[in-house]
Amino acid sequence: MANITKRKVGSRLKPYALITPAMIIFILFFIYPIVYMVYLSFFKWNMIGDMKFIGLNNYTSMFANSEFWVVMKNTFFFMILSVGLVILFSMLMAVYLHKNTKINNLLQSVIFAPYIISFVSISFIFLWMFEPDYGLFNYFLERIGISSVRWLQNTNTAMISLVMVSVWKGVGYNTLIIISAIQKIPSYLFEAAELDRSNKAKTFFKITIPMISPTMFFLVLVNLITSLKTFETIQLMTLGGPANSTKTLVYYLYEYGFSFYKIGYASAVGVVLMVLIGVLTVIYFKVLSKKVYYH
Amino acid sequence: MTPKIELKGIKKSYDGNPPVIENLSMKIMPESFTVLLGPSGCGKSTTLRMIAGLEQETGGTIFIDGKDMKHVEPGERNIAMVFQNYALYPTMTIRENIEFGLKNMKVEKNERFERIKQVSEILGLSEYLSRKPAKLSGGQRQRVALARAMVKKPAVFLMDEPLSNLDAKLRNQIRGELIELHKRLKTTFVFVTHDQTEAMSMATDIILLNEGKIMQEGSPIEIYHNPQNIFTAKFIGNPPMNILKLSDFSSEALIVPEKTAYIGFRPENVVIAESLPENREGITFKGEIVTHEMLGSEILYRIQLENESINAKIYSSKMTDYSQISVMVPHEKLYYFDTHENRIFS
Amino acid sequence: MIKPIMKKTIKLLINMLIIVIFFVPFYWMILTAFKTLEETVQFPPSFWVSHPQWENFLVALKAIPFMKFTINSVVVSISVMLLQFLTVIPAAYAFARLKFKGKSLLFGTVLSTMMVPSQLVFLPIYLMFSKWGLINNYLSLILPFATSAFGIFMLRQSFMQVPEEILEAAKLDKASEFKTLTRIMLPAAKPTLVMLGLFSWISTWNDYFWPLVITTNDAVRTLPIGISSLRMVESGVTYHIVMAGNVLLIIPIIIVFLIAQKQIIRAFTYTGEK
Repeated sequence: MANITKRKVGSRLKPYALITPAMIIFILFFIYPIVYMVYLSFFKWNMIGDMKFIGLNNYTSMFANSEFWVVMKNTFFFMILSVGLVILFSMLMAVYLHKNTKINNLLQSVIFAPYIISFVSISFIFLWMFEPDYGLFNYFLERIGISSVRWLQNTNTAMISLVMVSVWKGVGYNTLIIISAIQKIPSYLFEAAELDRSNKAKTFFKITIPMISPTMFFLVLVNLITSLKTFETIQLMTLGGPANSTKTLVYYLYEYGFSFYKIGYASAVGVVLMVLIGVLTVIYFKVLSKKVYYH
Repeated sequence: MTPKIELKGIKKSYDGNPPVIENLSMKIMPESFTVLLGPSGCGKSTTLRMIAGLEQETGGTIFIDGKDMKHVEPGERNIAMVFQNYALYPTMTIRENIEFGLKNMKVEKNERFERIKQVSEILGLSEYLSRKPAKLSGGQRQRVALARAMVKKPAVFLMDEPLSNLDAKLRNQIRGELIELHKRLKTTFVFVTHDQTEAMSMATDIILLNEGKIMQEGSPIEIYHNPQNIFTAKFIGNPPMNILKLSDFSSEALIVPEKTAYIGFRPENVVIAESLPENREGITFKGEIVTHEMLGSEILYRIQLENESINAKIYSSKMTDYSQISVMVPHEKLYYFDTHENRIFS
Repeated sequence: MIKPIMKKTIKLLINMLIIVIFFVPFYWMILTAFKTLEETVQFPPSFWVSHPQWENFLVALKAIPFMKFTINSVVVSISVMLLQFLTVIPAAYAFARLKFKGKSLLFGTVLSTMMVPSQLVFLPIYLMFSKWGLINNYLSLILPFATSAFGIFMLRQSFMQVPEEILEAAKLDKASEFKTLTRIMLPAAKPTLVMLGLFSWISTWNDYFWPLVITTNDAVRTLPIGISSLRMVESGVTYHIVMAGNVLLIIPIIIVFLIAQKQIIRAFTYTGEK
């Protein structure tokens, strides 16, 4: 009997033992850092000297800082433009490429490839193509009779240039997800629509769009979060410039933490970023659970 | 003779729900081919799974060879099970499927090889040993599942509706093979099914269950000829026994045992004719033939009586020309049941 | 008869446009990698090279401790992948197959960490590692990625798809739980494991952000950082050298992509929907 109780206790603890390694990593590198960041945001600290508790001062000075509001504006501009364009182009691509033909499958792979290429490579390729004097883009513009653009050096075009890179990199991923959603629509729906003499446009708006709307919602949220964390292209292509025109929250956080060593202030910026991501995540999970319910 | 398997006062309930089995006791004799028969939800599969140790009984005790099985793991019970969906390991070859249990039982390599050779010859699997289950037909998969059970040389074979995923022809064939196998192996088979034909054709003992209770147990002949209640009478036999309420017999002066509430007779014991015979040795009705089915050696008639309709199975190759007919059932072929639907023996 | 031909032509044009948009940047990278400095600053640019400059690659290799960076990348990406398998498999098994108190809460926690990007938590983690003296140590690049919520989620899904009866059959075959996992569950989940491995390896191989913020010393930094430092090699950006380095960074990914295209696409576009 003693043996059996021992085995029972062992088997009760086993699930916890199995998840412990993973949970330790999650706690150490996901949960604790967030708590620690919130904690740090109430202090003034330059990484070397003593930490000084200053209450909400980091937040008040952040909200009073006009640069912060420029950064917020940039962040939202980048977010809305890049997500809007990615979704638009992916939708068009998906409708164009959703049939399983040889050429379509090839094109799907081609447009997906940028998604698995390092940001370093992509950034350098675009940096080179954006080059104002010898770059490929200005060569094309010249060929069609438009005067050259100083893409990344101009405050008006720098952010749009970064949006172009993000859209180019992300469109394949989004397209493939929409395609798989379209392909999962039962074909009898399309057949029924055809028997009902629905034309192509009507079928698209009345059947395809409603059927893929859960996927579209998922994609919008995923892309919003992706755009919020975009860092590499900015760091590699513009360093937030010219004149702060491409400085977004993540870059601002990086700069305050690693260039100015203002840990408290940077943490306060991090908390703002966290709230934005948190709100999106909560919306996502809310809708997800609803979706499961409606299935 | 000590039973191979014995259940004493078994109770089973799931997570605080009302019990599916309240108090079940049964004995399964060595070398018997025992069929647990009953409609879906009667607890037959649960019972089998408790014998296997895949489900823990809530109360009561299970003995195998007189030994309490409460704390014995499924792998230690000296049993083998064949599942309804065969449950073959999809990523292993047929050989590996059959060998897996032997390896875990630490059977030596040469011995394993011999045993696999033997069972795969018996079941005609020799040429498929290196294939994966997905490459086999349903009948072949069924044989692999059997081989996997046989190769362990268990004291008991447990089978959970193993034929229900096969088409009718294959089912008949494998049924025959199972009977042969049981004769050859001389071990205990416990077979779960909801199909009474299957039970009748294979079993040496049938245990008929309903709502977690035993309705009747006995040999197929016993259960067919001597049903102890209406449930058994209607469950066994195809089509089921005709059961008529005593109150339906208005005009006839009928001599029945005391407390009779229902009268039953099997379709195969009905005699039909254009008009009543002179010497009445049974009960008679007037009726009208509603439908008929030609089944080959026999014809099945649906006959509408005054209030109810009955089935009649007539062994004749000639269809009756009349629709208005007389029906007779001999007295000795009648079964009487009381208000609790239990048999009254006259 | 005109209409189908028109349709075909339009389709062909659109297909070509798609290829131009998505393929030309890569072509441009490869082309530039073989150009001379003079050819890169020539305007209008040439779209072909008559004398491919293979020595650009040698210059790129010599300009940075290329071998060191490559070794670091291999060590880090392989360690991350192996550790992920080691932590994800038992956790996914527990979440898929075992009953325990607080399971849904714990699984919810796992899922929510999927939404925490490293760009949000790098600062506190950097401070933690510097307190532990682990900055410029492989561990700082490996440990934060030693498990994967996405992986647990995905593998749990495929573990749950193994029919209950097969596991019961294994129980009757006297297989231990460990044997059931290794001989039945893992082989059944093999496609998912391949996807996870690819996803993990590609993500770590490509990662630029984490080594940038968490390390300061070339001794442990990975290839993307090395390639990014190529632009600082000479005065002014020498694009033919940078592109040569870029090609070297991309080649392993492209090779893997060509071999396991289907699995990679499935791994990256996996959304958990059935």
